[in-house]
Amino acid sequence: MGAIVVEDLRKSYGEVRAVDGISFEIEEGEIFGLIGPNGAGKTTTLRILATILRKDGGSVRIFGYELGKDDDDIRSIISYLPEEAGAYKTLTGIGYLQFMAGFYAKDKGAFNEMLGRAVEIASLGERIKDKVSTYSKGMTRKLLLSRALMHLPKLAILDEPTSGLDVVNSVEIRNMIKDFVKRGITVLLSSHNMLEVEFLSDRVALVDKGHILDIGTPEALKSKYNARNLEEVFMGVVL
Amino acid sequence: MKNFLNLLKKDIKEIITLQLLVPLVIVVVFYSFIGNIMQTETKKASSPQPVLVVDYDKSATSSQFIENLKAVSIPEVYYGGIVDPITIAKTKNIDVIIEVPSGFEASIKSFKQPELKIYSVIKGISMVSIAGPQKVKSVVSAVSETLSNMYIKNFTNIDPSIIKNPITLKEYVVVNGKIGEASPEMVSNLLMSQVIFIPIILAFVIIFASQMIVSLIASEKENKTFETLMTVPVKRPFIILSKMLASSIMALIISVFYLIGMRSYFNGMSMGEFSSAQSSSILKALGLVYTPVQYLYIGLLLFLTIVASLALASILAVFAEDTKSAQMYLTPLMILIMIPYFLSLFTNIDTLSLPLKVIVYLIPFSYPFIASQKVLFGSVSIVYVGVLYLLLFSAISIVIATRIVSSDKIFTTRVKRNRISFFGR
Repeated sequence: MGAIVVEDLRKSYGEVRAVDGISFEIEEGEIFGLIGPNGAGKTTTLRILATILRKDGGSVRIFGYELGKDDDDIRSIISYLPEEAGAYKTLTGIGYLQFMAGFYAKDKGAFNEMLGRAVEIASLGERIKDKVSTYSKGMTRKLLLSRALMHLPKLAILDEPTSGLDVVNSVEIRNMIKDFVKRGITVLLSSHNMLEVEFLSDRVALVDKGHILDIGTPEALKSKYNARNLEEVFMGVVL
Repeated sequence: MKNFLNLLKKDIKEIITLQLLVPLVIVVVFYSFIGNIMQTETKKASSPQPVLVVDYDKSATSSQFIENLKAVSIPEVYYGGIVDPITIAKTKNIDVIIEVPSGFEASIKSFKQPELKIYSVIKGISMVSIAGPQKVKSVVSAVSETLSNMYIKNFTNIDPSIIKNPITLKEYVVVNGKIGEASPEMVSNLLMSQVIFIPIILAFVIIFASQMIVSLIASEKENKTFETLMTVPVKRPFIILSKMLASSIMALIISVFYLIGMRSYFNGMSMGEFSSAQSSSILKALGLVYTPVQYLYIGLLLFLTIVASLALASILAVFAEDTKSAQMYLTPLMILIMIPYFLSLFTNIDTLSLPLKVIVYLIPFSYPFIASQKVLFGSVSIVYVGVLYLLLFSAISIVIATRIVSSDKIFTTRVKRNRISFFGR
């Protein structure tokens, strides 16, 4: 059985079925990508797994913990990077990291270790001491990613990790994610940038209108649909 | 507990911004400044002012009258022959001119009514501009009184005061069985000057606390930090409770600043009306001075009211998308606070009609306002009723607020064109 098991997950907003019976499994240490257009149900799925939204139906197990029952335990082993996340503008970069490390560190030693790791990942130099309100979008995203990885979560849920960033920042963040998986972190990410997902993911799920259309490694999917990249795969599946 | 303190520290940091501190300092400085100006103006009004006296009579009686004037003013005397006293007064910056007519003494001696003329130069509506003429008139009245007594004595052997006032009046005020020699108007004025700032401070504290928590929640949503916060390993109710505590701590600190400023302002306003020793002895005699226990009662009600307002504000803040719209959602809360505030300032709640009284007592914020007056008059039952009602109201509101935060309603609730819907993306 996989580290993360999602079965028949459902969530509606009024009459709209945002997630309509999604099922997938993720192995430990794997990068699993959800790809699909805007409104496909990717973010809703991630938010449910991050314990923010409540599922209407189905079951989710994350490293043995059952979503809906063991949410406090789940929160201690995951981290979530929302698509449009921000940081507290009144805090400095280091102040924000200290605040967040305060929730995970059991003692002073662990706190300092997390902080050191986050500062290293963020690689903002002396600017880490500046107010977050003075940061560019790329700097804020690096700070938030360092926050998401600082406590070495068992599962990192990353929603559009490079959304709105320029090429240089996007490449840096992708490399950071790739590097961190080597430390045993399992990653569930979503993106509508299919080339990014192809670069990062071990396996991908094609999502549209709340359903998973297909799952596989990028190579297997490309071969199955006789496509050059995942964009062509997606178009082949949808049309 | 560690996580709660971590949240509390961050929330307090979020509140203490330059935008908060600058107006706070300005308010204290402003009220102290206005208070000082009021004190200076009152002192100026009570100090002797120069008056221009044009004495056409040059008699012993007119000289005596001018002598009497020296007790309340600084007379500059001209003995007739002045062409234009108004121009002279203007040149010398004198605002009161008294004209003693020729034949002043002769008229008095022959029991005719001589006519004194007082010209007042009005330069504004300040206390000083009307205080000078009033003082002169009081001297004229005193002189008239003396002459009147003299006339009565000349014609009768009866004490003039008995003829003028065949019945004398001695007023007493009774409060909770305690008797004090004073008029009800005097006690009412004294009480107002002593307690008028209490409802103002109460309203400030409640409004500040509500505004702060709404801003805290709305800025989490606006800055997109709430989603992240909801995924950290911290009990969900702690997220809202830390904001409540941070807001109430800061509201109380801010209120102390306002209290200092307000006291200075009202001290300046009430100065000169009654001496503080006089007022405190009258109020003490009637038992109308807050005891430490009564302060405790008001403090307890205020604390519970803050908790109730914070819980209610948190529920309202859920609907706000950003800090701007958050202030709009506070409007119903503000109205609920302003109703008991104005009623306690201008009316007696007990004299309202029954439906209005019921409405006032249903508003949780009414209790500290009503109790601040009622406990002074020995009624403690309002405190017990208030504490019970506020405890119940706060508990229900906190449960609703924490349940909303613990659920996903905070992310899926949107207000669309006058209706609430529960749609997310």
